[in-house]
Amino acid sequence: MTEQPGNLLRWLALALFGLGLAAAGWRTPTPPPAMLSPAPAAHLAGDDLPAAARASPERPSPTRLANGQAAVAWLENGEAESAGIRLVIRDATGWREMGRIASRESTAAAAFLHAQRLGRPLLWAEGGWLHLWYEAHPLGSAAGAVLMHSVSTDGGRQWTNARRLDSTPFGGLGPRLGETLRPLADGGLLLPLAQAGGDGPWLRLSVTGQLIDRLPALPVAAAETTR
Amino acid sequence: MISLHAAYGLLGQALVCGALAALPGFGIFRARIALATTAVSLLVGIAPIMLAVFGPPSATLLGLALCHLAGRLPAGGATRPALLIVGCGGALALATAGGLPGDLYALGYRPWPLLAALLPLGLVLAWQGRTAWLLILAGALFAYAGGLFANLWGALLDPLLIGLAGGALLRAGLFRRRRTT
Repeated sequence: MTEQPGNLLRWLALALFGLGLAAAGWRTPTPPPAMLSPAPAAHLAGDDLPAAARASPERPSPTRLANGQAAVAWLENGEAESAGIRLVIRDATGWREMGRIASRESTAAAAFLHAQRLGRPLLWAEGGWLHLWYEAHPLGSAAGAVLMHSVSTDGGRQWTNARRLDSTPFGGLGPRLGETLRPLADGGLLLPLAQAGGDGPWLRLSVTGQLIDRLPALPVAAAETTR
Repeated sequence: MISLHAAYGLLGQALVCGALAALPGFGIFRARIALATTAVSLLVGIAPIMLAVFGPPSATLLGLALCHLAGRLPAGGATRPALLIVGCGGALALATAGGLPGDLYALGYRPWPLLAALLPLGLVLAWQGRTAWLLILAGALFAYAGGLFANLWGALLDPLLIGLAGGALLRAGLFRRRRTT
């Protein structure tokens, strides 16, 4: 088919393109240089974890809530196709079950994508917000993962619809989650991607959880740079 | 509540399914087959599987699918755009595998260099009168600016588009070879 647009249409398209460029430039994030926060990440000894978390096929993810309570998320140990992610919070009486916070069904309902199974979770508390990132595997765990993100603002009772992270050019066949989240001095976070031999590269997230960059290596800590 | 991000991915992949089904032609039944395939892909779960495996369709792929469904594919041949798409896809794959220095995909999160490279491309497209491609690129830029994609590469390219462009190049090469023999 031949295309013979009039001059007006051509100028209109060029103007739209120019506007699109300007809008994309305006939207481009300009965060300050990344610096690690000197605050250490939460750590719980293996013995402190609930028994169900210790039996998980993936490493459980602990975090410390703003009120000082410990919280742990883990992938259920059971049939891989039906395993979901569970959360417990420790109060004065011991571990309190918060229930299943993500499953294949909830992922399909929120993001409209089909996952054969879920994978490793990463939990992080930032003030009153509780963030959960987890893997969803469209073609099984060996073929790569889609990374999902969900947030709770009421201490883990209710969670927002999980949203897919644009972490890879390969669709659902991207890298898996690494193991240790790193807080940044500006309030943001570095979300680790798994690599042979350790964590990295790192997805840089803003304070609100938006993905704004990908770093090949860990930046220096804030205290080191001001020394 | 349904998020715009998820709705775009699902409906976009369903439309791409419909456009793919209409590729062979089918004469006067083309539009009906495209519509039926779009609906069936939503009902039987093909679109969610495509969304999981390929990710949300890039604005480029969705734009081309809509052009195809409307029977108005961009003029001027597909070889050069397909070469550019496959070249960029290959470079992204090589950079991710460590075959190229730097992280090409990370450029898309703060895409000033990409925007700078798109400016002359847009001017050339305007000069050549390739209005449809210019509008598709503008759509991709607006999709990124509107927050539909966190990475500009995602608005421009996706694995399915790269595969289809590679297939189109192979097909063109085979036809050329057959003609010369």
